[in-house]
Amino acid sequence: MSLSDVSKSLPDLSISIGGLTLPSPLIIASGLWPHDASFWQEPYSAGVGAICSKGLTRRPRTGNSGIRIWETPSGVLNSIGLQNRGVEVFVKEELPHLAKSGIPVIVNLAVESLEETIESLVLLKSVVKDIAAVELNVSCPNVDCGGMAWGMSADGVSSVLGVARKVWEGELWVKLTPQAFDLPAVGRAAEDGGADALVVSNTWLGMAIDVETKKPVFDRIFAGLSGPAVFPLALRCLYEVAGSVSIPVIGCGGVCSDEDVLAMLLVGAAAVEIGSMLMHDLKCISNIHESLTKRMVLWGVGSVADIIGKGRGDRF
Amino acid sequence: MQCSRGLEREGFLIDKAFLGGGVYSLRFETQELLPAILPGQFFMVGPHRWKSDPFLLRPFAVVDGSENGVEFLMKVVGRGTKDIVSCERGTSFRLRGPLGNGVFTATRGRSLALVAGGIGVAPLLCAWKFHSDVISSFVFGVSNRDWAGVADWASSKVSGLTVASDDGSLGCKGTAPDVLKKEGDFIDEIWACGPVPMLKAVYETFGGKSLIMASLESRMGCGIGGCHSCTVKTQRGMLKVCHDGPVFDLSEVFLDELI
Ligand SMILES: Cc1cc2nc3c(=O)[nH]c(=O)nc-3n(C[C@H](O)[C@H](O)[C@H](O)COP(=O)(O)OP(=O)(O)OC[C@H]3O[C@@H](n4cnc5c(N)ncnc54)[C@H](O)[C@@H]3O)c2cc1C
Ligand SMILES: Cc1cc2nc3c(=O)[nH]c(=O)nc-3n(C[C@H](O)[C@H](O)[C@H](O)COP(=O)(O)O)c2cc1C
Ligand code: FES
Repeated sequence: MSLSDVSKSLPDLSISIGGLTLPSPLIIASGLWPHDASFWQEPYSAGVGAICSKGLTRRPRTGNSGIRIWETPSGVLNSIGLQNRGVEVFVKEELPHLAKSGIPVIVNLAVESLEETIESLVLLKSVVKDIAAVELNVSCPNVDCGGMAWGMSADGVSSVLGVARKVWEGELWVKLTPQAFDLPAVGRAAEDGGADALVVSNTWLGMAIDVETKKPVFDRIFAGLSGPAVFPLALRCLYEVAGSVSIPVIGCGGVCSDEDVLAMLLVGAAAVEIGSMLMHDLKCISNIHESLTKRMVLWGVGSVADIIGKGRGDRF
Repeated sequence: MQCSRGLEREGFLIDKAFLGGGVYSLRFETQELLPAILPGQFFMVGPHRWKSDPFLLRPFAVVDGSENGVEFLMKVVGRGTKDIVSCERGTSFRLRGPLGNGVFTATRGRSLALVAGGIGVAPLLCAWKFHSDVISSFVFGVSNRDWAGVADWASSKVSGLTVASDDGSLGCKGTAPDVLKKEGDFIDEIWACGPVPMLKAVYETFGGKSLIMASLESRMGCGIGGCHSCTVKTQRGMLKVCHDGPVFDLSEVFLDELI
């Protein structure tokens, strides 16, 4: 069936996350897309609900030395180390161009210290009209100061939200790490701390050895695993967290197809973030959007909201 | 030329020739028109049959391009290149490109020499096509006779190509930078591509006297400047090979940190 055949009864793919409405449930995950406005337009923008910025820090970071990416079976390990130009440059030089695209901008803010997080949020407040939401990244596995350490426990997340929620009145998402021992408890702490939504999740800690050199591939030894290989793991985490909180949960990890999107929606995702698949196909989002639309028509489903949480089954 | 479909294109393998030494020449045809390709630019390449494993497309320098076609030289080194060269004619491919903003650009009135090591000859063949009128010499260094087929193929495209081999079994004996040194006196500018040890040798021999522009390699994810996977350390900070390069002024690059 071609899209023109079904255009009469196109389903509604818009979704709401807290106080935010997005035109599509497909969000570009942090760290994959250039802060270059020429990529924030057709043909890349088709089907995109929002774009997350690269993880930003208060001050510029040069990122990690050595190899930064390594292909694994159906996935990639990365050790970028939050290379970014800092919140100030982002606010002054990049955001104005990106906001003009009309695509909702989600600012991924990497939590280092609490002081720097407050300073960054104050800077972002001056441009709040251009920001759809702040996604607090308490889950980067590739840095020493802060990063994932904050997201490992309910206490860590509570302290971050304790300061962030006081400064930032806009939509506030928290991106969790699957390394947390008790992910549902961390999710509940974020909800109690005032998060508007959760993102489940960031990358999985892995490693690689170069057998030729007989050494670890990455200078930091461990790196973050993403891509299709992690999808079942991410789906399970999403299932658990969505069953434990009442705020919206955004699924993330290994999404490659409309089937993956539907699986995440069915277990309770309010939307999904797509990262690594964009390295495989820059236009995967528009393709997924098209096949998702077709599938919803076939199913006779009028809106994404009608699918969310409808496939959780019973778990004893 | 802005393409309405962006950089993600479909192409079909139309010709494949084995040149020896594990190297193939591959030609692709695209259905849509390609923008003008500049020497040094590259494509991220992978057959459509790669769904999730292999997952990443592989970067290859353009040897020659036309309105609806592009040619690469590919050396088989691992699972991706092995699979690509096993594809039959007619196989459909993802061809993301042309990519790269740092390219080889000639300045009139300056003497210019090209020095290639092994498969690094690929982007320099493209540079030759564009700028043969201002290039005084082109030295192609290889390890040994295994490269005879590639050297013949390259010689058929480049008049006056000097071939050099480490063991003297093909062309003159010596490394490419040594042979270039013997060939010319003062050279204003050198364009180089090859393994890191060769780039270092070029820099040691000519650095400070000639401007050396080199096409660098790095592991890539996106190819468009989004993922920060492909950076190299330079005097101007960590720059992306895919976006700021792949051609860099070698005096700006921390050569000891190249992987
Ligand atoms: C800008 C640029 C231009 C290039 N041009 C050419 C060319 O014209 N001809 C040619 O034969 N090769 C070229 N290369 C190198 C080529 O990309 C690699 O040989 C190829 O990616 C290896 O893939 P594989 O799956 O066979 O190897 P594997 O080792 O199995 O690959 C595993 C992963 O590592 C990456 N990788 C491995 N070696 C390299 C490398 N040297 N550079 C970058 N990534 C690497 C692969 O892309 C893949 O993601 C170029 C690289 C770059 C960055
Ligand atoms: C190269 C790369 C860079 C990333 N950078 C960031 C980042 O800066 N901030 C962040 O929160 N997540 C970052 N991530 C994680 C992704 O946003 C995403 O959560 C993860 O990769 C899982 O989703 P995927 O399997 O769809 O990629 C990065 C991932 C990759 C592969
Ligand atoms: S490969 Fe993604 S930034 Fe260069």
